[in-house]
Amino acid sequence: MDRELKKVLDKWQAEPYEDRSLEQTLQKASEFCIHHEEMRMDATRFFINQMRFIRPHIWILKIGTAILLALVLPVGGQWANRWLWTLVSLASPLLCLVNVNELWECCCPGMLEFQLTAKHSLRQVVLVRMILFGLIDAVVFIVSAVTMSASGNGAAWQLLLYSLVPYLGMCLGCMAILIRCREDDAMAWCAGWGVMLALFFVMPQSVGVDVYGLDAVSVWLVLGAAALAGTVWQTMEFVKRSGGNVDEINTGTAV
Amino acid sequence: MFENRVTDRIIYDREYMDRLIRENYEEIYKYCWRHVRQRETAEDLTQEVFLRFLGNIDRYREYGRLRNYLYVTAGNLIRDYYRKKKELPMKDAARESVRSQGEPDYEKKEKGWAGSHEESAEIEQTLERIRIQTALDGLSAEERDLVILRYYQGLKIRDIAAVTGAPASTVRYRLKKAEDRLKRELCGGEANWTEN
Repeated sequence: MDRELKKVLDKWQAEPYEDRSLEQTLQKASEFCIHHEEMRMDATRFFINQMRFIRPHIWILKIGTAILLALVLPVGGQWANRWLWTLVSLASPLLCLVNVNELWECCCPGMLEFQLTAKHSLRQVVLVRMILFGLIDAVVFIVSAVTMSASGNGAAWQLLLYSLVPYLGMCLGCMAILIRCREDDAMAWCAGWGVMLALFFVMPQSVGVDVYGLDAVSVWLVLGAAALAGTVWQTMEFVKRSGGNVDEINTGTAV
Repeated sequence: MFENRVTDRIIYDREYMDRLIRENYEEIYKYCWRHVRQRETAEDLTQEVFLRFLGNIDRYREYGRLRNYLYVTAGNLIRDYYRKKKELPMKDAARESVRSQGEPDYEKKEKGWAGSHEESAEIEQTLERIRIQTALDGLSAEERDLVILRYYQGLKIRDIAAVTGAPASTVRYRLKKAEDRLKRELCGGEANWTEN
């Protein structure tokens, strides 16, 4: 900046504005209704819109898992029955693991501040996503059960039992991890839990225990009930705390 | 990084919106005034700047400083204003702006009345204002805008580049050209000034 020129130019002073014009501007600004409520979507659109936010590869993985089951189940009779059921028990936690990442994104530390921009809270986003995933996974299980029954390799109730119990176990573990995990590698922890769950079903098989025999049905039912109860409990806790952890200041993760 | 939080706070916090307007009103007003040189028009344009900002707040993204965004809006409104209004010839514009700021009593001077020392000083100030305005009017619209942003609004080159949408090197070049011309007219031209 040329100081000599600045000195000369500064001789031309701006005429001061009147205070009433500022007050008028403030008045009009306050009357100026920012119709953000009109820009927001209603509940139905919000529900459907969540599908758009779930990334394509999640859908691909779910469809892939469903196709895998659809391809394997009809020809599963070629294997020993127990390994077929083992496959079913391993596939269902995978279905759950696919969902976890999408739920985790709503729970990252600091997400609470983004709630300020939304009519629908992160809690609602989490609930909607869980309902969506639940509905889709239910369809996958039902279709698999029907396929299994139609192929003659087993009863539908067997498929439902041997897939739902591991699925609920996976849900229980993932909810517990998402509630407690503060780091970005929550997915890795969930995957680790999935591996442990898989070992829980595979190891007895490998030492000759008939996990899928009729005698073990009561054990499955008890495990299923426990997993269901635990899942409901942890899911309620998770939903309550979703939105970036309302106590993040207390837990020291607030930036 | 946190610029979008400005829009969130404006939407939800009226006090913050008021504070934002108060903090930026004077600078935007001065910018408008230096272009249109009429107080009422500048006030109207300034009000329109803020109302337009609020009206388009859902489209606001991180454009750097908020005030730069307001300058861009003001510049667009000033251009619209001149498109609607036929620009007065340079001489008349200078007289018009002097009239709006208070004209010295030329009649008394013509009658030979010497007037007080203060009135002489006022006349000199007015003439100086006309000189500066005439020199600025001799620049192109882009150069004038650059000079106003740099010398009157105190913006840095990179901010001017953000406001005008031109690269920083282009801003420097045009500004240098404008400065040289103004210096010739204002700093080296005093001896050539005549009252007629």
